[in-house]
Amino acid sequence: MGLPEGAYQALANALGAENICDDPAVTSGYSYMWLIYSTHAQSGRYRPAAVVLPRSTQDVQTIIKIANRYKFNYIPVGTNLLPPTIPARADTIIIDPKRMDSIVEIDTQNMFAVVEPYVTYAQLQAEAMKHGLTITIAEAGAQVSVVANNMFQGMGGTGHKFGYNRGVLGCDWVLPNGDLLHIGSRGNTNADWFWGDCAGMNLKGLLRADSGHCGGMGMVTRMAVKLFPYPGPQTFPVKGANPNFEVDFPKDRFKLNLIKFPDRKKLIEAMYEVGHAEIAAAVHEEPASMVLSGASPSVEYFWQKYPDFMKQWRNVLSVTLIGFSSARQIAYEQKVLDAIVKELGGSFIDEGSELWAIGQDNIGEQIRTGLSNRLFRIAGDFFVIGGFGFDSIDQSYKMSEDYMWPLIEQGQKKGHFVPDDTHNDWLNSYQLGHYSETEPLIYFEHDLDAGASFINSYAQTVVEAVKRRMCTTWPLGPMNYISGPTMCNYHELVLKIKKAVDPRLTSNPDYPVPQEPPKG
Amino acid sequence: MADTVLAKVDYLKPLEDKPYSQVVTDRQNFSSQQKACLEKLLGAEHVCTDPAALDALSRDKSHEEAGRPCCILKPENLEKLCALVKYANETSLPLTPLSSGTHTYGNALVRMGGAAIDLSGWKHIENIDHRNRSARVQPGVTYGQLQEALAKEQLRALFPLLPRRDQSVLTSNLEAQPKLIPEFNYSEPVYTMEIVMPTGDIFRTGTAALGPPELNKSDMVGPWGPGFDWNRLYTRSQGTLGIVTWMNIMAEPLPSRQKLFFTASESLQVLVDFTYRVQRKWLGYDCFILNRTALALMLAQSMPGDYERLKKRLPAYIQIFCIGGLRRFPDERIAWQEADFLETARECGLAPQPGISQAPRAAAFFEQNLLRCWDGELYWKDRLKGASSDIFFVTTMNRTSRFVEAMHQEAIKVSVPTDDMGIYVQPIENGRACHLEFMLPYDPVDRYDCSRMRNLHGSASRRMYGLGALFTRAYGAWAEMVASGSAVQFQTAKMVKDVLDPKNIMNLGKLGL
Ligand SMILES: Cc1cc2nc3c(=O)[nH]c(=O)nc-3n(C[C@H](O)[C@H](O)[C@H](O)COP(=O)(O)OP(=O)(O)OC[C@H]3O[C@@H](n4cnc5c(N)ncnc54)[C@H](O)[C@@H]3O)c2cc1C
Ligand SMILES: Cc1cc2nc3c(=O)[nH]c(=O)nc-3n(C[C@H](O)[C@H](O)[C@H](O)COP(=O)(O)OP(=O)(O)OC[C@H]3O[C@@H](n4cnc5c(N)ncnc54)[C@H](O)[C@@H]3O)c2cc1C
Repeated sequence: MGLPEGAYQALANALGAENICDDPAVTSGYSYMWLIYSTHAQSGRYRPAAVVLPRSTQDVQTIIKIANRYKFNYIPVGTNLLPPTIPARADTIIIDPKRMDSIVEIDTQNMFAVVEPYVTYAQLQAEAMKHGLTITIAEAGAQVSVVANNMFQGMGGTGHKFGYNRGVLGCDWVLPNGDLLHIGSRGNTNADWFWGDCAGMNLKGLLRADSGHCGGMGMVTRMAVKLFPYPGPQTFPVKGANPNFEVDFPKDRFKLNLIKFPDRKKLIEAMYEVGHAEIAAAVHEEPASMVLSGASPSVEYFWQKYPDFMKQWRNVLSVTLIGFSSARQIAYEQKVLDAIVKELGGSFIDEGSELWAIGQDNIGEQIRTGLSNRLFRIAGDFFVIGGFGFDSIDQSYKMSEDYMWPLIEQGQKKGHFVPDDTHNDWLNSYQLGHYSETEPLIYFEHDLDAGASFINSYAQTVVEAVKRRMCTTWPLGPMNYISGPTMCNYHELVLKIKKAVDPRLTSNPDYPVPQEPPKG
Repeated sequence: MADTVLAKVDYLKPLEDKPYSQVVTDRQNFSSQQKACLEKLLGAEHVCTDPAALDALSRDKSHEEAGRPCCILKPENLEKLCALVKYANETSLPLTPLSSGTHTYGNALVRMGGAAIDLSGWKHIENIDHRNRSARVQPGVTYGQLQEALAKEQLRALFPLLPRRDQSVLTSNLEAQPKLIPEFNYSEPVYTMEIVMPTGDIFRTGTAALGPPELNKSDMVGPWGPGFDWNRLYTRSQGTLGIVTWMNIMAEPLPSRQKLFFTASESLQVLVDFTYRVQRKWLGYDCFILNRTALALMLAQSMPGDYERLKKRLPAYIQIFCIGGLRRFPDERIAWQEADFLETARECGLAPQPGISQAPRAAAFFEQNLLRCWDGELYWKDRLKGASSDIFFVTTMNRTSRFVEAMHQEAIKVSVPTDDMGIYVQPIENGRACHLEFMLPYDPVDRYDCSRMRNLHGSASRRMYGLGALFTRAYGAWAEMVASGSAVQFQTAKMVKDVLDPKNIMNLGKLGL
């Protein structure tokens, strides 16, 4: 079943025939996913019934109102990286914002930018840097949509200083019933975009949660996002050519430290100490596989190096210092970091060493992220066994050790995942270590059995977490029925609110929570 | 011609088919039965119907109309509170939760009938977690109490400007009162909370949802979700969406030493420009601007003599700025920040000082009071005339001068002396926005002054709104003002209220709902 009769014409009349398309050559492009399992299990089966290209908020309202009238489904997207952007039902259109790609405004004094949904991080950061400002960029890469990423997650390299889920200010949000809701200071026509909390009831609380609604709550058409001070050059200081980029930041304002600890517990202690000392801009445990795949010019290089590199690169903490104020700040913070490392028996990886040569790109990655596409080269597929659950640094460590790594080891035994015995994650500090999140990385072939092993293990992390009453992995769609009953039945409240704003259930209907629990 | 049937009204017959004496008796019975039920539920000593106590709660320090609760309820624990809310659902008894001892902005008035739930007796600090920089507090915990406990752990509470002694820490955070430290990473300081929902069910936000604290194996510092950003939705909801029974909030490293600077200027704009620059460099802790009136209200040793003297001598505006040293190399931390701060001041043509020469008490006062409640009998804002009418909102610092000018014009229109108007500018999140507050002193027993001030409060609020003020804390008449400005927002808010409070019992009439 495609679109209901008359719907395509209504959309074509409203948007112009050139802004809607159902040619399979185009729609197929929206039905496949990097993650083989989701492609086969979910899409592939369904191309979108059409793709529409709105130019304005009003166009988006029109599309959503037509969808309500004719009763078909739609999914708003950014750059389509996330599996829930592929249709799971036939009568679904994609709202692709490719024509909504302007940076509307940059307020350099009050440190924000107003963007449309197709503006990427790379684009925005390049403009912001001209004004001594920057933004934290998701590890998904600088090529993703700023709006989509802030709607979904927004975990960036510099989250230790710039926070997580703290980036959104005023928004124009087309609700699933077609109404235009102004969030934050946009609610007062005489104010502008500078603030995200609403006057009266703070409906910003409905915009997302620890992760987003995957298009299940309408579409944000404009968003003001926070920018942050940046003391670097006006153009991102990159040298070399793909795949051998190098960054070259002024040393008196930017300093990368790669620190090895005798064990992972000491690394965790160091993260706490750095947080309590209120130093640094980026703090991550960096696993060997991630660092090496980011630095490898070819797949062959990776596989030649990996066995030995995995032995040497263990329990490494990457700490990037940024002198927001002056070189004095760097000098002081380095002194504090030196003391912490000494107290905990850590050692700095020497500049000039081979390990340093492989790891040195890390500073560029924190500021303009772009390596995640490279992670797919190792085996064809890549993801994390669990993650996107936020609590303390200790909790991240415990989640990782108690049930994530045991699941990885099971997958390795079955031959599904690439060998890795480091027990090192991409474990991240946010907001000076007030909270944290961890992602144990796995690499697997573009193969359905391995894909199933991944997705089942991922779901199993939710089961294991609620069994232990520990922080859960982000529960995708139906997985909310695993976590909800243990967690104050939040899924029922979410469903009630979804139904209230989306009475005909046309906005990516199975998200954030499907109406019915999964069968079996 | 058809017979015209005249309406017959029997003025003597009671509306009900029973004598009026019976109606009165029934009403009395209803009240005493309700009381008996509540006493059975909560214990007689936790149900108060003393007329004097009810009268005392029927007014607050705002210009809002009075409203009297039918009783004041003090449930002893969570279980009783849930039972009470369930009972209120069954009997459509409206509930208004209170946590602080003094109520300022009308949001705790029982305006549409029903009971007040007084949680100011819930005074436990449930947990202090040094490692994860958090403190879990019940609604009745005050700043003084919390800071005393935190100091033992080398931690500090995030203080608003000189709070009242009986100010609840929980409601201060629930209402998002601005904090003295604009550090981005201290902003949005609520990790998790426990809420008795309007249905009587227990809900916990963030990782606290995983179970009651005694079973929960997380550290309960994950603030988002589950499902929505409940912390944000509940912040400033003024009790309309449920009752918060504890809150886990940020507690930050206590500086081992600190250094204060006072920067004076006759122009707010000059200090605003300076503050932008300092905040952009991510320097220091406490940072805020006061005008001479606000400063004199705090520092005066006598009223009105010393106040008037100070007001004459003090510079028009002062920025107060504090640098702190932490555990490792505290002096060096202070030194580099001081050097950068003073360099920035020089670039702006300003000269920060360790004190205020015209007010020698100032240095010691702020040295002691950035982590203290106001300890005078009369609250500092009320010292001049007995009460203060406040107008405050979120804006950006570059707009503050325009608001001040408009505020002066409004005051002059009703002959309120502008030099008695206190002004407080609190940068938020490294200066990307600010809280701007005007304090208008008036005499609460002088009816003329009250009515003049009520009018000024209304007209000036509308003027500020017209200039783009964001009344995030939409108290009293502000709620209607903002609701009428954004129909979809109001409609969506009502939808949320209907879903979460289907029987419509929680703090009726607040937020315009
Ligand atoms: C390899 C990999 C690594 C990743 N690492 C990170 C990371 O480090 N940090 C991080 O934050 N995220 C990460 N992600 C997830 C990432 O956040 C999302 O995939 C990202 O936002 C993708 O951006 P996009 O433009 O492709 O969004 P899309 O995939 O197009 O959209 C993301 C979701 O938001 C919805 N959406 C999009 N636009 C709108 C809109 N305007 N209004 C309402 N809803 C909308 C979509 O329906 C979709 O469900 C990673 C993903 C991958 C595949
Ligand atoms: C899971 C996944 C699936 C993807 N699928 C597709 C796909 O199907 N089709 C597709 O076209 N793309 C896809 N991409 C995106 C694609 O990988 C990147 O957009 C592209 O490869 C980046 O160029 P590169 O290989 O030169 O980047 P890299 O060499 O990895 O990195 C280049 C660096 O430059 C930065 N950068 C990127 N763009 C700009 C810019 N415009 N201005 C300034 N700096 C910039 C990056 O952030 C990065 O730091 C996918 C990415 C991921 C993670």
